[in-house]
Amino acid sequence: MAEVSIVNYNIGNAGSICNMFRKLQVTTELASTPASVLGAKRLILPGIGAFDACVKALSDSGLRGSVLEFAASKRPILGICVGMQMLTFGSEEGDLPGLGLIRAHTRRFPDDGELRIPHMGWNGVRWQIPEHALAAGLTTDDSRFYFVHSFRVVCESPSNSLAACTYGGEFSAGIVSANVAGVQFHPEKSHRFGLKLLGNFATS
Amino acid sequence: MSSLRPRLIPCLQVADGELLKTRRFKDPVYLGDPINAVKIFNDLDCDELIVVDIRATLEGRTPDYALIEEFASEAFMPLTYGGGIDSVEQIRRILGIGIEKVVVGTAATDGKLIAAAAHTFGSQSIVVSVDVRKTIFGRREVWIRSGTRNTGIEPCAYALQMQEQGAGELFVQSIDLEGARCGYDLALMNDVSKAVRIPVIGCGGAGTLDDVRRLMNSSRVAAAAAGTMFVMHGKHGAPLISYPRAAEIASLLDPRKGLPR
Repeated sequence: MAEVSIVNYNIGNAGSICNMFRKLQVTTELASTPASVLGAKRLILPGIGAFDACVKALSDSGLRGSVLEFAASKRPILGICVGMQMLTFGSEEGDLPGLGLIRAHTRRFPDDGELRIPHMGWNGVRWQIPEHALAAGLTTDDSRFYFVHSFRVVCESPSNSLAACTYGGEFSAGIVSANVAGVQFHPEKSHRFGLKLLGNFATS
Repeated sequence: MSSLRPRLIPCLQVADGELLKTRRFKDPVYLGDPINAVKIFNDLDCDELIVVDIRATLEGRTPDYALIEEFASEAFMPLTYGGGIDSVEQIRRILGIGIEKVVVGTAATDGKLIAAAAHTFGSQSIVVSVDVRKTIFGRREVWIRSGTRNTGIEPCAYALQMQEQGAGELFVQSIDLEGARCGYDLALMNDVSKAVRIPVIGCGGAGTLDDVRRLMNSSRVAAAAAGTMFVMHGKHGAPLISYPRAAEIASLLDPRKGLPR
């Protein structure tokens, strides 16, 4: 049985995520059916593009219910980029509701006319729960991650914010609630730092 | 660490499975195996990489997906691929492999592909290349087909057109300075980066990190790309892959300038 399963709902960058786990010698599989989602040991929910498109694709794939059920089972689940935003209640980018697994909202960046959107590039993060398993070995000053996003996540309670990042103000680069976590950046594109984070996830 | 790092991007030229380096878009020199080069850049914690097949369009070839897959499985950083791309389906396949962005050159001039691709995949994955050559009278013109066909269009006007159509980023390259190692065309980069809202990657002419520093601090470019500087060493151009350490890159941006725009 694969160590990590990636929700395959016809969206996202499963290819590069699998490549990185291969480098880590962690077995992966694409979870394309409710049974394979429910049977996973650990689950990754990828996502790129528009929020509603991702939410709709997840519903259309018939996997939304099983992702929710998996999250309730207390096994680790990690949302990446829009996959993280989908863990929130919803996004100002769209109209469809998110999964609501973490008490947070996906908002616009403040538009002062100067801030370039998307936030695209490498940025540092400040771990707000440094003792969390995902942050192991990553709390050094030089650690950095690759971001590409036009909307940002804001938690209702700071206790759910795993990591903060600053771009036109502070936002949550990582969120967590018990076994459910998400990162706004792309670990699969963040060379040794991303490798470390996905390695942390695979052993969590 | 609270602001974006300066983006410094090696740009690798490939053709027929070989890593090459041209000068002024001519006289390709064979440098080695491109997969190995990507692997080394990965080990050097390179932040971003652009790989361009410089002959695909000229030879009427479609992208080499097998090669792209090999790149993707060795590069754990954002990778941009270009060369011979002329359809939404090709872009779908390349992004599906795990490539972060595509760069489109010649096919961007058809007036439809960029809009369709940006609509389907989002602007952030679509980069348009703007290859610029100066006439003997100093007028700038955009060239396509690896610098073999003149569009006659002025680069700022072209850049604006591409922004309108949905390009998420522009890869602006001075053909005249490519491989010359005498510094970027700062006036060109300044003019184009001011003309558009989208990020501009400047390329062509970098010889040292000082050239990069000058570019980043004298124009609004969002990123500096370079070929020769990262793949060749010394005046005889011996093949050698290098990439500066993180602290050196962080020091490239004048703190007074604030966030890169």
